[in-house]
Amino acid sequence: MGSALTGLRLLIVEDEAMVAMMIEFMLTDLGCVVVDVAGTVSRGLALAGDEALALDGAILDVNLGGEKVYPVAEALRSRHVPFIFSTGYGIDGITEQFAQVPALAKPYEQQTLENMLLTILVPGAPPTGDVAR
Amino acid sequence: MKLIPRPDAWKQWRPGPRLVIALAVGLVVVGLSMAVYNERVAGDQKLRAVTVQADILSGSVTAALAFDDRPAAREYVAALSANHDVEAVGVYDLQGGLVAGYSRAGSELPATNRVGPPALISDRLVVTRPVTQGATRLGSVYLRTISEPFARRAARYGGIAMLIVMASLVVIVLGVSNSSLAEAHRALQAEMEERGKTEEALRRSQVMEAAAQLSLATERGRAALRQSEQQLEFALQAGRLGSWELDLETRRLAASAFFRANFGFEPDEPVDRYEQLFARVHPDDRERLQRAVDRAVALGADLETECRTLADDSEVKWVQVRGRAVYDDRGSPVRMAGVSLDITERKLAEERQRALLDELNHRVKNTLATVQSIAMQTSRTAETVAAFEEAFLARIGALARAHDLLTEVAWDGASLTRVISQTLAPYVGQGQSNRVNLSGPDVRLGPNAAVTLTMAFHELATNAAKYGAFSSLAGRVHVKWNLDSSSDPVAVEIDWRETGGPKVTPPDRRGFGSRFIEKGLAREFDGEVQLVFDPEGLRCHMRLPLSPKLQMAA
Repeated sequence: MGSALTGLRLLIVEDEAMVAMMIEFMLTDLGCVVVDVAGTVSRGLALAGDEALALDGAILDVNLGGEKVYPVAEALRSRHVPFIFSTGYGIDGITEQFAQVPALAKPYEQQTLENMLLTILVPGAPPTGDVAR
Repeated sequence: MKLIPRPDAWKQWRPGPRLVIALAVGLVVVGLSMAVYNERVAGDQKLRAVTVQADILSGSVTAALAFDDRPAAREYVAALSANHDVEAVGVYDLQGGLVAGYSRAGSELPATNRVGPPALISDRLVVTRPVTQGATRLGSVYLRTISEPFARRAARYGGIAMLIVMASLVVIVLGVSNSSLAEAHRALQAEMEERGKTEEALRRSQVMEAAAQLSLATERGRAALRQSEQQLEFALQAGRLGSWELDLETRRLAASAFFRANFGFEPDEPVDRYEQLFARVHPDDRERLQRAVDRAVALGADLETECRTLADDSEVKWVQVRGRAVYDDRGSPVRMAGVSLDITERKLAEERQRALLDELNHRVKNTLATVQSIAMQTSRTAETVAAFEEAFLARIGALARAHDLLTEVAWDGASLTRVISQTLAPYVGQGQSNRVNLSGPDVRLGPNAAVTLTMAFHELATNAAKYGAFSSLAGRVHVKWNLDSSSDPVAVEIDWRETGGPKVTPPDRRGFGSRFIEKGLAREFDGEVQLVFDPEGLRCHMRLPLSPKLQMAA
């Protein structure tokens, strides 16, 4: 599929297998490469710090079985890897420190995910639809 | 207490009637005695006076008699006749013949004179004296004076006596009246004294009665006040309400024990300043409290605000403060009074409710995302709409049962045994309970883990029903799990093994189910999962490290 997102290497941090699979499905559909899926903060930190993965971006579920994903977000930010949040708590549930980070409210459509990824990963690229924020 | 002054003793002495009469009689006796004595002395004096007159006359007429000078004798007699008391005067010669004489009308001189002692003859004092020259007797003189008549004297003495008697009577009357007056006075005084005492007693009894009534009224008032205060206190205590009153001018604060407790003060800690209270309010809530107070005072509105308080311990307490300002006649705010209530419990309940609602919202959203995922992936793999419908509804059903299980335990720690047995139940017909063989320790699953494992076992059971053990009557499914304490991290090992089913052949391509189990499940638990398509029967080995979502039951 010819898209501005084609070939981008993305990390998914999501603790619900069914939802993670859907995101993976959507990203694959968009031409992205899902480098890995982390279900826990520790696994997420390990992947975020792995330079060999050559991450282009990440989609982070805010709440991982009671644990907040922010340490992973910190690690990504320090490496200048752009990311978006995916949350079932609504965007108000995000800490002040990452208030400027775009967030997807579950459940979301593939189109919404695509637009948000274009916004953060491909500067100057016109969105293909409405940008949800 | 006012007393009538006791008069001096002498003033109180009053003579009795007997004494007064005795005194009067005494006066009469003394008066009479004096009259008698006076009569005697007066008589003697008169006698001496007349005798002297007679002697003077005797001396005067000596020469006249010696020389028989009658005119001279008459001159001396005439001189005496000027005296009104003199009734008759006579000068007689030695033979007793009258030489010169005078007598008042109606009276006579004796023809001859014989010298004798003075004599009183019917109120007339008669004095005769001889006239002598040396030893030679020349003649005699006769002097008769009018003595005061007895009747006149009697009248005079009678008058005096009358005066004395009258005086006595006056004394008696005065004495008696005085004594009766004194008696009356004493009686009056006694009566007055008695009345005074009575009045004093009355006054005292009135005072006492008034005092008693006042005291009774005061006591009743106090009792009523006490009762009302007690009722208020009871109501406040029953409601666990603190009460407070703030003087808006001096900012003095009067606070009840509950109020002080609400703001974290010790029971015996003195609290009387608004500033003390303010210091106990959470810094973030101070401005809000002050604004609420100012607004209530300015608008005359009810104060109703909530604030956190700083107790000595780190525990945050919530207090609701209600009140209203009181204004004076000119409408200036004077003070503010109200109640306080510890609403920490309510706040915590509200927070819990808020958290529950947030959690519910989160779960609903996640569940919708799960349903979305199921729908999307089922649709991509289903060859027909009917196949999609069947697979989709079965998966939604499994998801619903997972939620049922979680609801049973209030979304807190579903049992692995229950998750597996419930998921496999639809594939176990009546009398076929031996088709499933479960064994393993009690493992508690968090909500997400319970849902994921339910979906995983659902996929395994569905596959078994289509191609494996559940597709033949002889087929059996064995699920065994245990804790591998030797590994790091410690993990739960779960083995799914099918026996007695048709011969297994590996599938041409991996469907949603196998991808979900091998990849989704493994990644969620940060563990390892292998599907082994053993011809004897499908096997699935799961190695899931312990984590907050997967724990051994206590």
